[in-house]
Amino acid sequence: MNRRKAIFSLLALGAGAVATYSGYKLYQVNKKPDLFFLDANTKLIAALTENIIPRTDTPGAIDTGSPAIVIYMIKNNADRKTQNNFIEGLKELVDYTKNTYNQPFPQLPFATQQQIVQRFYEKGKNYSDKIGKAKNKLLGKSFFDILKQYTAIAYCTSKDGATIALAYDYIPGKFEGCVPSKAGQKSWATK
Amino acid sequence: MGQTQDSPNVRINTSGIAANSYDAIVVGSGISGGWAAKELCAKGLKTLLLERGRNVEHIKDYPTASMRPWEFKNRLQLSELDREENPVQCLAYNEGSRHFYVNDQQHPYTQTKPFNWIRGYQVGGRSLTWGRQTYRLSDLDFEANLKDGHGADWPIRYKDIAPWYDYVEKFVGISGHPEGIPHLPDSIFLPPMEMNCIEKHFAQKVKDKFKERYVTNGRVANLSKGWEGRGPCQYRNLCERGCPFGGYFSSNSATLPAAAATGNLTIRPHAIVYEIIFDEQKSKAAGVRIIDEVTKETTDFFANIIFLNASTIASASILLQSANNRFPNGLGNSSGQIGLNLMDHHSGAGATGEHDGYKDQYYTGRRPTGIYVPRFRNVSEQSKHPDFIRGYGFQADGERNEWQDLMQADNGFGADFKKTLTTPGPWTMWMGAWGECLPNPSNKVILDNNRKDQWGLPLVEIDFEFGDNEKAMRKDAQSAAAEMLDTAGFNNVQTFDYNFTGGTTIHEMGTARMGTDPKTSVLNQFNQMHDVKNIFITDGSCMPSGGCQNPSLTYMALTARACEYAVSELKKSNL
Repeated sequence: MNRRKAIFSLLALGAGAVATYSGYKLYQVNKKPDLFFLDANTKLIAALTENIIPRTDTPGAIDTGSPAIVIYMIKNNADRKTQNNFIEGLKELVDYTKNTYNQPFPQLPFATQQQIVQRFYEKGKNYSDKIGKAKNKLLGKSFFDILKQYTAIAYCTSKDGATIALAYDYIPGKFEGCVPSKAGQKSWATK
Repeated sequence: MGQTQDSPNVRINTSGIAANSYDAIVVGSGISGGWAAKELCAKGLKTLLLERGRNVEHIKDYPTASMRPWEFKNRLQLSELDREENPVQCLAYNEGSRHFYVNDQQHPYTQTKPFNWIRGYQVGGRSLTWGRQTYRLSDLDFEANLKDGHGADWPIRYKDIAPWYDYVEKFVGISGHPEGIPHLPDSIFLPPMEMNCIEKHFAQKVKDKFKERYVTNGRVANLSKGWEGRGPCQYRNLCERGCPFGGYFSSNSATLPAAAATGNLTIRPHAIVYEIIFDEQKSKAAGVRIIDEVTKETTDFFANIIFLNASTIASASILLQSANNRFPNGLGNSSGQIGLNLMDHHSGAGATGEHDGYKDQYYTGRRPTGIYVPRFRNVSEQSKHPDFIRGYGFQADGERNEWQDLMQADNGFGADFKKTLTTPGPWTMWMGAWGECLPNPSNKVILDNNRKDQWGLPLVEIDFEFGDNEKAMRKDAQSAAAEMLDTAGFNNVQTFDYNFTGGTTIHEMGTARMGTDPKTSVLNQFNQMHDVKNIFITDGSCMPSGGCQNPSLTYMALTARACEYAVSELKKSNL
């Protein structure tokens, strides 16, 4: 086998493997999403959002009613890929939790919950390298990124999120371009 | 009703001529139509303003204007339904402004090549949702076609329009800072909206390092102080929903109330123009035939003069629809130019950067504008660029990263993430070029007679793409922006180039150009049709070239100027 031929067959194998893998994944992300799974798992989703934005000295995701908004937005605002990736991620997390801890996620101690979420965070991370970015485009965002971003949107646009955790100025009345930030300066809730 | 049938589809209302007669008809109530109505009414003409969409009354019909983020079902995010049903309009709207945009399903058009035709069919048109950036053109722009041979020469120069810029600016109210830049003449300004720390820093560095480059406060039709009974701006930055404080200029807040106050204005919403009625014997327009949007009944309105301000693409299509025996290729189209030379501005190429400084500084209030870097390419012999003619200006904006930016980053989750999300992040700067698009006759609007809308009118077919000159400009804009950010000490500088589809800047221009020669242009130096003397067109379609400046201010000035001329001609019985 000469060198040119060897390279060719390597490439062919690579392309074939990618095609098989992607073909299955493409089916997965584009199929009709199992939206009922969301309503059947509201407690799980609530616990997950609280892991993303927990109660501290300011309200957490659950305090601000964010879980219901996340579910609403997955149903109404997300595209099909995002819906599928979120729901498949949830299912995977349910299985993993059951197999590893033999208990449902919401009933585990918060520290354990954080470990599980950390695992899915790490898993979603390989989406951010170069190949990951291409994959991202084709297959959509990772479960973790979807959970995180929708939780952040729901939280930061909620009444308590915007007015307590962030700074919300309904009618500013003036603009000042340079003002010293205060200790513990909060971000503006709206741009 | 005394209706007689003159064709299988058209009924002429013969009984209502007296009742349906006005001194002037204005077609379209957007930014230029609003001005036409105001000027004509003020000069004592009984004026009928036709608007194809519904009525929108200032303040009363701004249902989302006072809503807080948590009061929106979708929290101001686009829904999947938006993207499916309104793939074009949703590029421009959000949940707070959606009701001021048409529905793509109900208002289809044919795209020969991808073109985003973004529209607002209601009283006030797109003046409700415009970007409000207001810049004068200069002789660099008015002489451009003559000098490089693209497009027809403008029949006017800066001196002809300067007093009319003054005139409209005194009413509009524009905040900005005078700079004395020859190719970007100063407007009559209200106080500027100040720069924030990073913008001041950037402006100083650019001034130190670059000749012929300026950084100035965005010139914007938002009121930095109370003006003509409107405003001042409350710094909510929610203009696109309509402003309950009248803090920015729109037809609804400014020109239409002024027109109505004269007692001479009649607004007829739901009036879709079927055609301009041409009187062959008198060789002028007799009036306008409309179809009611809701009842689909036709009605004829008559007037001595007609101002066509339906917006660039719609005005061209109305003229093409109004073909008759005398003008078989479209009313007033003996030049064959109607529909040709469609332009937009190209935008969405530039760079972003992050800055490590000023961590102890923030801002308060939400300023409805940014900063502006006026054109610096091809403004002098020294600044000639080898790869393209004409130029671009940068609109830029400095801010600290907030949750919308920070939630996308790889920054974990839990209490630490929450802290990051709710604390101001690093200062960043975004700079995007708004660039000139050369007039090119192959970019055009025609009628697609194979497809009809629900009112039986042929669909508009748009055939447009940006050319090599625009592409070369975008390439330069990216490197020039990156260079300026580098020079000003920004790090993580990244160039971008998106949004390249025609129409996306929503600055359609040029389908009924002005010119000195009736053989090669549609309108004369007063925006009067060469072929049909009592029709005036002062929306974006009149533009022989587009400059790189946001164009609405120029439409306003041309409109006021054309109204003055039209009424004086009317008084001399020349129309």
